[in-house]
Amino acid sequence: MNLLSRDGGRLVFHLTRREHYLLRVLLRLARRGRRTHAPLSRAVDDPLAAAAAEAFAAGIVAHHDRTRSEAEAWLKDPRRCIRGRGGSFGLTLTPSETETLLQAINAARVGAWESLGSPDFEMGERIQADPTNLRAVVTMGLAEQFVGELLRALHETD
Amino acid sequence: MPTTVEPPTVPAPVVTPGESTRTTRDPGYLVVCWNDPVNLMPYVTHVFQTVFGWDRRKAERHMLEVHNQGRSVLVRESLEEAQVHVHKLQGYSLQATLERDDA
Repeated sequence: MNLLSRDGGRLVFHLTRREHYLLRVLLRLARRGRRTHAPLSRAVDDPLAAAAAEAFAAGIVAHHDRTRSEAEAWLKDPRRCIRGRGGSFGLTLTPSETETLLQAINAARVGAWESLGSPDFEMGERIQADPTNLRAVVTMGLAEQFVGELLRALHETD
Repeated sequence: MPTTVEPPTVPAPVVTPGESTRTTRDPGYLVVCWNDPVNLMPYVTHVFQTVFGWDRRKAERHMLEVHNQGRSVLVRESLEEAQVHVHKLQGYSLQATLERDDA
């Protein structure tokens, strides 16, 4: 995945056929959903925050569902994700849509990490080497590559 | 020719018993971002830039504060504004919360 051009504020990305497929797989994996979200507040003695917590949590879940669904729809839309020669794709997104795709892919990465038990690798925590965990590790690595490309594209003019 | 101008009479402030001058800020809410072992440092910097409109230097300073100290207070706002910002940050999967600031 790389940025081909910025055209009138829109970003045009080149995706190989493999990248297009893997992005869709990533988003499909993310559809299983993250299991946990941070609370609105960690304080236990704030009635105002407590009153808003339930609606807030529902709003976050809905937000992640929406970003993932939108990103999936863009990748399927033949007017937005145009198939070129050799099976590669040209995906056109506004900067705002690129942010949405970034959120959806990062959520897939965080979801994979949570499925591993939220380990802190930097602190030396290790995971069991089994096929399920391996899939999650690969998902994280794959998502990390796409996140890196999207960040580069968004900051290319910095 | 210069003339002498009488200064206007300024009424003395009316002090109502029981009222006092406010010496503390309005109660507000702090938007706090917590460290997590999963989100990438450039990603967190980007999110701060995007959500708060900060330049890269300020965003990186807060990102490093999160990374090195475990948390960073990002802004202080009303409850409603703080909720909006926490929602945006959590939309990016950051560990953001709000806490009341009575100081």
